[in-house]
Amino acid sequence: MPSAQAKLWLKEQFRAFYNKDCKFSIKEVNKREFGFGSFSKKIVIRHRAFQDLKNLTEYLKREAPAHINHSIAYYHFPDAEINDKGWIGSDLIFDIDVADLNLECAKKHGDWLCENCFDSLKNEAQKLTEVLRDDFGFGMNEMTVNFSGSRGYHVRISNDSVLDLNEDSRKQIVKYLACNIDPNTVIFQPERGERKDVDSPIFGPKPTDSGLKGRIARTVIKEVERDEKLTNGKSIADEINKGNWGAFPKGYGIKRITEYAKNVAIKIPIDAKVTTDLTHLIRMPETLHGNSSLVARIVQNLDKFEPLRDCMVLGDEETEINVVSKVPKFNALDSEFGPFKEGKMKLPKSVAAYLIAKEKAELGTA
Amino acid sequence: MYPFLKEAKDAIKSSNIDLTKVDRDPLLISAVDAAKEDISRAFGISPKKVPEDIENISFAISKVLVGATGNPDIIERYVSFKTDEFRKRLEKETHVNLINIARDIGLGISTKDAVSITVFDFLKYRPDFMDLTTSNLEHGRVLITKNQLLWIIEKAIREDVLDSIKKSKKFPEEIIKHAKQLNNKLRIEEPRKTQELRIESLSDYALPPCMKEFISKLALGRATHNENYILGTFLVGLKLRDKEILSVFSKSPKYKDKTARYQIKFIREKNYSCPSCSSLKKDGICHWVCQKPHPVSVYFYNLKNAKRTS
Repeated sequence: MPSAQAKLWLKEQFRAFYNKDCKFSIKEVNKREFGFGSFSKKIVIRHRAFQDLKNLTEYLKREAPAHINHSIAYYHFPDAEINDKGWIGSDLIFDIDVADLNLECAKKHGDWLCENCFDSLKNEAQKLTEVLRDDFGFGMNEMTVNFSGSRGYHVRISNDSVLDLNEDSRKQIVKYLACNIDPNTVIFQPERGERKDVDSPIFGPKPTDSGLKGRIARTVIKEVERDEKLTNGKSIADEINKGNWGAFPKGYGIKRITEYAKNVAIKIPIDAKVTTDLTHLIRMPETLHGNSSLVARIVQNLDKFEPLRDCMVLGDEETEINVVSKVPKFNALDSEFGPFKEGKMKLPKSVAAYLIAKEKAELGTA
Repeated sequence: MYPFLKEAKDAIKSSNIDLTKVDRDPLLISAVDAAKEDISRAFGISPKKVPEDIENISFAISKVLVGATGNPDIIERYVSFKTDEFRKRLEKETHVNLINIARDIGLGISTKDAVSITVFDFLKYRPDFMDLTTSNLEHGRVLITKNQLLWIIEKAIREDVLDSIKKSKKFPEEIIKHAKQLNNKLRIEEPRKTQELRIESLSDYALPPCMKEFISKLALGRATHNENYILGTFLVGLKLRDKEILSVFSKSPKYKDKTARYQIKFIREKNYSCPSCSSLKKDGICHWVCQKPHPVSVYFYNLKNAKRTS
């Protein structure tokens, strides 16, 4: 947690940000519950409601909270206790968090996010929007992607048909995205038991099939073609194209084939709780994140988006900081920074705030 | 014409029924009588079917009466009974008719290339055993067979009937009087009709309350398809043999050996598992509080506890 002095300084910067020309766009503000946090705790106050955007903006200018969250739900009485709010519906939101990616690099740098982390997150967000478009039929204009402000992305669906989906229906969507399917239900042999003859047919999905079945077939084809352990990758792929999964070499029984399919299938690592909890509070887009000082920017073009360039909004005025824990090399604001050892240095304000909020540095003026 | 279709509902709306006249208007008097008989049928008490010419108005009044009883058991039983009854009629419909019915009740059906439903309607009305992961989902639509469509229509009708029952909150005195009569009648009749069941391979005392109720309803020939399915998955989940499971289902007066065998085989082959207590609660099927979160665990928990205390 940053020191009291650093927290005060960060709050000042946040207040200056909210008192500039901030523009928020949030559907039906008057039906949302709001929750606010401090630099020590993400949600300190909740069950707050605002008549309109103007009211909310005034509050942010005055209080400059470290964390600003709103309910994904719409309520008749958003400021009432949870059981008396009168639920109307909930947005469908997906949260991709770096913690769910199980990246190898995290073992080296812990909580710090490296370039690989940011790229992997972007890649997963891209995959998610593709599946939501191709399988679920959402138009790109119905999806809003925003950087979470710290360690991931949020994808929101604005389509009235999703509002009354209950928890169970949302769990089904999560299960689908996680490719949580028993391969035995789609890959099978007419007769059960261990495969005795390698040429005997094993039926399974074709790449042209719809739903997860087709997705599994397509990813397995890609994988077998580049898998060096399989000498006949091309012929396996050709046979899968016809729906025959029996061309795997000797030693691949139905169990091993289904295991193979399960391992390579595309799984989109979303935080299930965010999608299924109808009363979840989520960071409001275009507000600052108290644990990073980055803005939860709405992303127009994911390919070109760089969080440490596009979300550093606190200015470039030189600021003295005292680095308290080693910082690896990183790119921000189109420049290279670090690696830093402990000690005093001057950095652009946005970068300084980033390191302070991430508890890598303290204010250097003490 | 089915009374849940738009045309039937519109006809009721435009006739502006005055519920304060249920004991004076000759048409309403016969409709109320038929409605009360129909509700009693849900409890296996009355054998009398509603005459076709007043089915529409009688169904509308039944929903009001059931709602006015304020009795969740009566509401649940009536809704399940009617849904089951409609399903049986729907089973005889052609695929084209079913598609038209589905559209009429507001389901997003398309027949372009193949019959499909919007993913949202699929998610809202799918029975537990129809999973999105194994469905044919493409561009927001799920391809469905005639049988799957039937299941979805059944659930949509159930939700619709339940919604319209829950919608009415204020009732005139005349309706409350009839609702009270129903409440009294059904309370007295029910215990007499419920049978004691003995199933050798099952320890009766260990059964979770939901399964006890399904078995009771099964024996009266009143268990719905969904209840039979859940019971089947539960018994398979207990690792009973086919013979033992069939002995449970054979208690039903409607028992068909071939069909039951096929259904058990189907549950086993597809590895369908019994829904959890929270799923059953969400679907309005479970009204109990048990020690464990899953019917199968409740059974084994009860079994273990009974052994420990004996």
